[in-house]
Amino acid sequence: MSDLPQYIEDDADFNYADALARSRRRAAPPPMDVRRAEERRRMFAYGLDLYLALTVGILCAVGLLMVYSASIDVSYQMTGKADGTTYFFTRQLRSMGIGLLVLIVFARVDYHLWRQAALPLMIVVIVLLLAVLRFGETRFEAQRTLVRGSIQPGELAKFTVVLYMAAWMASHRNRIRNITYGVLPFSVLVGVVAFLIVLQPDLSTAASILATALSMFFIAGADWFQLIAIGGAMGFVGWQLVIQFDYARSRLEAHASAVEDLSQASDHVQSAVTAFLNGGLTGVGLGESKQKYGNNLPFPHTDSIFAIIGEELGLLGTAFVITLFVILIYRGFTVSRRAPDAFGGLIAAGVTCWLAYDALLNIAVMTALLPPTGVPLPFISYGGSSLVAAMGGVGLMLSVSRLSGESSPSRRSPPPDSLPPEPERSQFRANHDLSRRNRRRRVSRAGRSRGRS
Amino acid sequence: MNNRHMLPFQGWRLVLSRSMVLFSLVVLVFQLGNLQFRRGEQFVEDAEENRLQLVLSAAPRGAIYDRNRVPLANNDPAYNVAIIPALLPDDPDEVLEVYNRLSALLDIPATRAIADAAGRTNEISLEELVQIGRGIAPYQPVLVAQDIPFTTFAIIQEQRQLLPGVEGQVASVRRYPTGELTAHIVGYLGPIGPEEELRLRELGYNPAFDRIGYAGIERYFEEQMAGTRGEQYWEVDVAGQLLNPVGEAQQFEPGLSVQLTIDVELQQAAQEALEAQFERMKQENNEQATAEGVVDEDYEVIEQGVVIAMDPRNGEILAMVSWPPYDNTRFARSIDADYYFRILEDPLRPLVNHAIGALYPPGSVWKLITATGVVEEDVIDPYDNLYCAGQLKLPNLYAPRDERQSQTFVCWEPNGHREVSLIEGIAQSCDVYFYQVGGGNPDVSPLTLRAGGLGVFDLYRWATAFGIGSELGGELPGELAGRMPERQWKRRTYGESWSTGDTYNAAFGQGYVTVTPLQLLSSVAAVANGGTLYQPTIVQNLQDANGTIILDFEPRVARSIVPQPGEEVVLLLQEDMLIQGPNSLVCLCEENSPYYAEDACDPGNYSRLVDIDPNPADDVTDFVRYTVNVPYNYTFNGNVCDELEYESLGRESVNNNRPEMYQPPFATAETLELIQYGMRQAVVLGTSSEQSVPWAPPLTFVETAGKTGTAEYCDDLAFAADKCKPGQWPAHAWYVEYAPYDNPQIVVLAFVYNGEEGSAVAAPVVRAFLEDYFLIMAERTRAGQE
Repeated sequence: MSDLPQYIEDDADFNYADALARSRRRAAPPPMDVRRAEERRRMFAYGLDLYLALTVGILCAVGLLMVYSASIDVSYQMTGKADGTTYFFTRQLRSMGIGLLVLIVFARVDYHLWRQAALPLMIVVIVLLLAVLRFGETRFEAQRTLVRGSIQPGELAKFTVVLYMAAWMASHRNRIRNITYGVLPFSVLVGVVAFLIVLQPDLSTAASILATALSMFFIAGADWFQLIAIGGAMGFVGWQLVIQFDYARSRLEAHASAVEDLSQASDHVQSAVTAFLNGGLTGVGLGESKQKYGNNLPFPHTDSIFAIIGEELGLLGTAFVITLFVILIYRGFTVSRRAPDAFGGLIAAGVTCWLAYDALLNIAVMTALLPPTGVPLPFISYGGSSLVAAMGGVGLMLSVSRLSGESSPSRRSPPPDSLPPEPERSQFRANHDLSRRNRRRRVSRAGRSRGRS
Repeated sequence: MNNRHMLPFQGWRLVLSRSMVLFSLVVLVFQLGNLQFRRGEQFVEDAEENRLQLVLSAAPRGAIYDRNRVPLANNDPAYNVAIIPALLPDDPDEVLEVYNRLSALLDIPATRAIADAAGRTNEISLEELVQIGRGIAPYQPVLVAQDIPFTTFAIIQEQRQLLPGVEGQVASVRRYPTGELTAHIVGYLGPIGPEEELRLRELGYNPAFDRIGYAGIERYFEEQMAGTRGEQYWEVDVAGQLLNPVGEAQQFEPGLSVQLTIDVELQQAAQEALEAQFERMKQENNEQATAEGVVDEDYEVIEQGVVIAMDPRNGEILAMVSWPPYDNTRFARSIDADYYFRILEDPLRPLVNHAIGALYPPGSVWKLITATGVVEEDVIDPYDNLYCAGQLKLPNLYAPRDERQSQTFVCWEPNGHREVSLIEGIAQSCDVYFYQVGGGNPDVSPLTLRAGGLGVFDLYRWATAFGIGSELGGELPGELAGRMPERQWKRRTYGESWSTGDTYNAAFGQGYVTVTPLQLLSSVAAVANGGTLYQPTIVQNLQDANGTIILDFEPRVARSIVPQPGEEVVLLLQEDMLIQGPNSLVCLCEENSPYYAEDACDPGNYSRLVDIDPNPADDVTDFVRYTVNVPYNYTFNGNVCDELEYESLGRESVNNNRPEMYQPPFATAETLELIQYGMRQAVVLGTSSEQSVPWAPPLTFVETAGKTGTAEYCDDLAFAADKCKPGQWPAHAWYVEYAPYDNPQIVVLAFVYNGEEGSAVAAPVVRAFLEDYFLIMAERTRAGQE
């Protein structure tokens, strides 16, 4: 029994026979040409997670529609021409095209391919972030964009961090609870990216990245002590940063008063709330929003688009959008649950967390639950980088889903161009350590030795 | 699905993450529903409020007059200039022209550039004023200049055609014609502070514009004098322009005017008398310094003092001077901050009305109260003599035979007064006599002097009956209660037991005894008028704008010390509390008392019984029904209800073989006549006679009676100046005198801080004032006859 895999604690209905059978199969690798054929087929096979794809599709459609509606006035102000009202809409359409392309590519290509690309991508992102600090344009008192505002490396960083964390944790999973191998590199890696983003300054994007990384760390098997230590450290640093940045502190203070009395809230939140109020149950009708005009509501097409949805489509509209996100998140975690290997599972979980946190943050800000901060609503807010990154992430998820959906045993054999297979033994031991029974024993032993001495 | 649980993290960790995220989304849905529905109604109400604007029209504040209708406070128009941004011309050049014209008239730079060019960088230009003030409501006038001269105002009104958008406004400001002379009585107005903003807003005040009384009558009668503001709701457009009135308009009601009992002429006389005394003291000090070539380091003239004149027949205050004064005209339009902070930090505290808001040891004037108690409690036959050797040795309680350990109490006359009876004791102010009758002397036969003398408990009863320790309720804010100590108080406060020496000190108004000058004057007035302690009052009536009297302030008895036949007995709130305990008026009415009962609190119909039979053995009960005096506007926040006091003094009564109920003392008219005679003797041949004070002899054309007081003190000021040397503490000077002796119509108190000797320093003030008083009265009579 002692050699049996010890997942019992985690999953009651673990299939021993299957696990043993799998290891037996692994012992006999298929012939070379068969593998190659398999590989080719997998790379281009048709297998799409319909729920996920449909949900994201609807979200994108709603987003496009709402960007068009919400950006009419800002487009007009931007171009100054009567026929310039589609300025942002066309740009968003273009971004969506790119996004779709990216999505299809990521969905089609086996995600294991990106395992090696993770590190270079990470380096590129860090370089981009440095470039932003050096050459970036200053918009709204922060340097966040490159190339005339068309690229926001912060959004790409979210994608890259998820990919990189997944690759890194998948290969270090058995050592993840070790301080030197687990906590430190993790903290340093994520910390560097987050720090660069904080310097822009963009606290909310950094927070979103940190939260996503922390969630992935938790899902990958960190123990509570590590989580508390890292979470505590993050909280402390975050608090210091909030104190450091005047704009963050003043927003927090303004929020504290707004929680008690909405009429004390900032103009941004107040006009968002006004928009929701105007909307009521069914909304004032598509395109009829008043708040989007004359800068009543700042950023109606980006950060505040949810409020415009609330105004034009009412509670029904907002509930619909939230339902779509619920399906997306539910489905995302399901993909992660069914993923064929740790890398895929962590990718799916990471992408889901990232999208979920962005959506949560955005909606919470709009409904005056959190202090105002600029986080885009995934798929819906105007913004090329955010959209492309999000669609890339979904593409990865679709790829994971596709590979797990087809139950051919060979699918689970390591792809030819990936790292060597993870040693199952050590994996088992690592997980053995994770099991609750073991932990208990250690504690009670300590107690007994104390009693003896 | 055989691969579902392949990896460890695909178990509970994923489920947990998923549930947490989804749960957060559910929370958001709830918040959304909340925003879009439940709060909707509330916001609709708020929006309605936005559409309607309440326009208040200010009510003129009531005036303050003295008893002869000389105005002490009234209203003046103030001329302001405002700019209505919406009505300015559209063309920037024309606007600049308007600014330039106005700038020439008001001497405010038109634009920033002009101000900088003229070197007036610290001033805010007209253009900036309008920019700052315009906000989102362009029809809201922006105030650019306040209180401009009338001629300038008239020019602006004339040139209205040339100054589009400029509006002249007339506002009302306070004027205090008598200024410093009556500052402590009248008080002043100030802006509404943030603490009071909410409460006053509910009462209809506009915290941005309205001012409220901060001291004196202005504060005490704030509610009555403020009047009721007119109210009218207007529909407004988004720019703030009033469109249509909505609903009924409520007209403003002018505030009530207050007519005081103060006589400005007498007030002037009192102030001059006090100032003259300060001058004399400074001069003497200088002369002494030049004559002897040495400056007396220990003595300097501290110009702080009080003069109060009261009509003993009804408690009306005719003059009340607290020195140093402050200039309330500098607060009338707006608070002069430099001046305010300067006087706020002045150690002599000019902002405090020392007549009611400061506590001092009363010194020998207090002996009148002790004497009343001594006679009434049969401590000694008033005609029996006690010997005064110039000092009295109080043996140490634990070493009664050791002379060296005894404590020495000295008389102010080091040679002693020899044989002294009560009347001589008052006239000569013999301290040793009052030590003995107050705290007893074992060397004197108990047949002559009650063992233990009057004792501190009986002294407490009598002092309390004379109003010491109670707020008497003159219509001024900030009155203090003073303190008569007793055993339990000392134990609670100092953790020490009461000693005979404490009684000695208390018997002649030193030690722990503190009073306000007004209290001391009131108690002397009660002696002078034959036993009625009137509530000191400063207000004659309240009248409306036409002069019709709305409320007449009748004389109120605060305590009947000698019960008059046919009149109901009145006790003080403090005594009522000691008698009735939890059932007393204050305990029922004070909100922070444990027995607070809103329903039972009915000051108008309050009356209780008290057993005044002094001998519990004979089973005869003699109940007297009494009422209490509740001053006008009294708010029951004086913390009179004190369980500890009630309990401890009740026990004190039991220990002294008395009925359990606290006994309020009552005097007979004969006793007070005796005291009055003692005061008369003081003027004729005692401490304030011509012999003692040759530079300020008693009035010759009228018989007067008085009592001097020299009260040693050691307060923070003296301590800081290192003057508290043992055995030679600095002293305050007191003097009280009333006239005429047989039918008193005025009683005057003078108090000079650090004046050293009552007879020498305070008596001249009182006599100078009394002389003026009779002179003024005679002149008025003559004028009336003509």
